[in-house]
Amino acid sequence: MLYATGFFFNIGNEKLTKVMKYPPGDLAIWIFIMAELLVFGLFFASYAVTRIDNIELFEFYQQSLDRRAALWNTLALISSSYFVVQAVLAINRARQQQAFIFMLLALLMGLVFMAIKTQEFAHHIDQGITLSTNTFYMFYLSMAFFHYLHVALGLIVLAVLANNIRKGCYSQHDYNGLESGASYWHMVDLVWIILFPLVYVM
Amino acid sequence: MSTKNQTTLTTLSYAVLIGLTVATYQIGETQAHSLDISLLVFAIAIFKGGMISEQFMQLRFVKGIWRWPILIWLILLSIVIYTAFTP
Repeated sequence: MLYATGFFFNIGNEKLTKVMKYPPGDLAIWIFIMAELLVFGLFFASYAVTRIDNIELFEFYQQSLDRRAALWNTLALISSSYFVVQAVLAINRARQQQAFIFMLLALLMGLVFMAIKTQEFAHHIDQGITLSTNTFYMFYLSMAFFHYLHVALGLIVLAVLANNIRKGCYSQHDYNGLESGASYWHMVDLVWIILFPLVYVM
Repeated sequence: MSTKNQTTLTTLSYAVLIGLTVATYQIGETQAHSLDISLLVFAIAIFKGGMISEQFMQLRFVKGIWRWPILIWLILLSIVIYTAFTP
């Protein structure tokens, strides 16, 4: 099933369809991405394993979370990731202006995520909920805030990329830096895609 | 395949991701908690993760060892979650 997600759509433009030995962007960013995924993976595994002995507690407090806000957050991050892909494709076609607009849209969607999540955290603080409230909130707040910090870093990266596009730093044949930043942002999206159902729905 | 088709495919993937996200939310809203539903929801998430890896991260164009780490991460995560959620 997973292979099919790529295999089925295994077509693209001439440059991008060229089989590559290394993933897009700098190799260093991919090592960083793997390290980040390992950490988030441990978080998710710990959450799931701890839930085994606390099913009622987890299910009860899961209902107190704002699932609608999480939906909008997921839609915002997926949209942001999509706009980043479009920005990379635009640079690949030497359309600098279009790439700049797509990157601004990606930035805007990321800011929407931050605004909703900040409001959610503020609501929890108002309710007196902290890491020590119970085991569920300990995991939820840790994972959500750790991810939130990654989004904050990602927004800085997107802002730098947008500025670089505006200044014409990337060309049709040289946009390695853009691909590195894009890959990091997709990782942030990927982690949220797992976090959303695991913590808010399951 | 042309650049235009690449853009179309990305947009198609985006639409599928949005659709699956809304479906996940609707499943959560039914309040019908069961093991099967939980596993269905997580299977959807893993599929979405695969699409991010293959379509957005462009890993489908990579040949060799770098093609697999994220898909392996998703598979390992699935095994852990499945084991933890099944009695």
